[in-house]
Amino acid sequence: MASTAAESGGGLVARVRSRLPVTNRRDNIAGWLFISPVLLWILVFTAYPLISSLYLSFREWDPLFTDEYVGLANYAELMEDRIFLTAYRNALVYAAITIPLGLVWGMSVALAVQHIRGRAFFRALYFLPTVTSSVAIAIVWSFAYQQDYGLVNSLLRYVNVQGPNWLGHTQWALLSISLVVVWAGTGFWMIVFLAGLLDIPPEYYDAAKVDGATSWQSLWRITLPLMSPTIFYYITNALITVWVQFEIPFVMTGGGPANATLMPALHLYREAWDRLKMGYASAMAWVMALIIFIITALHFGLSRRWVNYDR
Amino acid sequence: MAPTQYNLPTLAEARRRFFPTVKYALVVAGGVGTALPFIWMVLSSFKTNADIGRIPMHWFPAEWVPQNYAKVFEIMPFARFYLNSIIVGVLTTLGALLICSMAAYAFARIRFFGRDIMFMLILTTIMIPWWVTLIPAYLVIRQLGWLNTYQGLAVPGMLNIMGIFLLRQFFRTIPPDIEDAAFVDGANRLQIYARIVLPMAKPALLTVGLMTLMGSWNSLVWPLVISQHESMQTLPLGLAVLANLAGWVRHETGALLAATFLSILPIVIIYMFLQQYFIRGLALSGLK
Repeated sequence: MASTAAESGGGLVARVRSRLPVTNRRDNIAGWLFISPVLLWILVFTAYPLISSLYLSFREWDPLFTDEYVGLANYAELMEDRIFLTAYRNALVYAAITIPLGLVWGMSVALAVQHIRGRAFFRALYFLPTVTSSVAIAIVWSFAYQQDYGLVNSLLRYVNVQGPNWLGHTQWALLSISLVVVWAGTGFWMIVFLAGLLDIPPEYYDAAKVDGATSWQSLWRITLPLMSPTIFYYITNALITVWVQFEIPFVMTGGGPANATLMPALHLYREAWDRLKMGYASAMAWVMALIIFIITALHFGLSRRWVNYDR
Repeated sequence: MAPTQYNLPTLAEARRRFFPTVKYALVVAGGVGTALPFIWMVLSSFKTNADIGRIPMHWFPAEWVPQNYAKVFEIMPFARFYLNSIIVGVLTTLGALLICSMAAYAFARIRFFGRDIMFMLILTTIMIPWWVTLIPAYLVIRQLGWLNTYQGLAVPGMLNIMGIFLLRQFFRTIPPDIEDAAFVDGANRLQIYARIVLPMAKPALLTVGLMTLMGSWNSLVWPLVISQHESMQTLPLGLAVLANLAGWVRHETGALLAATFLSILPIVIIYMFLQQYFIRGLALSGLK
């Protein structure tokens, strides 16, 4: 979809021209030579693995001893695998926390920082977690959540609240991890939202003001509708990334306590590399891909009702 | 005069003062929340382990001790982790810049058979969740005998589809007249790409290079499956493994925090100097 948007920018003449058959033999050879390294990479590290993983998903397979065709048995086993279902249930909760919270918080900060003095400074500061490795973030936050001396509970103590054992308690662990992810993503989404806000013609706000609209009304009637493509992009991205989260739970909790923070990707990794059930894990990967595909398709279908592309 | 007439402007006035204050408070509160964990990390890396565990928490070290930074190198092969991260980061970045810019140039400038279809196909591979390809990609590396090698860590990461897209966009903005003039002078495609287009595309190459470097420097999953030997671990992997050894963490918190701080330092420093390239690269990749 991205490329069609880019192509259509070229004007009619350019577009018609690019559709014409190319006859220059030298250009044909040169073009294919120039893209051949990338094609090689895609063949070896994307296309072949894609087919191979589908193949593996129908087999009981490990790199050393076992290789046996089992049909759909891996998929059938998955549906009965309670840990697999737990991982997806956790991912749903995690999605229900991170997606709305990330949107509201990122958008609020973008709106607030937009016309403020020191904007560049705050933008740079908020962006800092985006350039920091997830592992470093996870390590620092594991300490921050520590029950006795951790940063979070120490701050809560200033207002006389006794904080829980965030990562050690099944009731709090998933929420704690979700909040870290929102914290880490704020800066990136703030930048994306700011870019979207800059695209809104200021005349719209002037006109609204003349008509006596309050800033609250302008926000709901002008800003948010015109931001809908950006919000759409945020949700598209979020609906994909929630299922593949790995680093934060891997480092902070290892999926615990009692699988309370086990995520689909973490579960897949364990099955493939700790238990060497690579056929089974491939089936898990395809279920994950299927879920992502269905959700994305639904999201794109529903988008026609609320995403507004005309300015 | 009716008092309501005075009321209205006062309300508007209150609003005008109120909203900016709320905005500022929100931004500052969020900024403090963003900075505090980093500040805590740096301050605590200068504390003794007992001092870090003190209840209630104290912000500043009771006594500033730099020993954690020496200990980092004693309790793990930290210099080796660092070296590995640098080698893998540089290899990945240079390779990515080469193969992506070549493809991007062809897609932007050369009219060859099947170009648009190939471009579409390549872009759609972005949509494949990489957990689907991870297991066979690992098996490919294993088959090649590249487990625990730098090429095994670096080579797959050279494929940066977003980078191809961004570079192509940039190449299209270079006026074709310059190339045409070079053609007339008898230059071939390769010469034009290497001597004319690439030098003009430095800002775009820097953006894509930084994105690739950052991705490689921060990545965990690929090194996790490729590097089984400690001597081939990169910084995030080495730190993640150590952080998972819960007993170790309890005893050497200060050193772990010092190591974490040192591990993010290069990217943070580069970020401070080349901020606009990071922000542009990531925002562009977000906005298409």
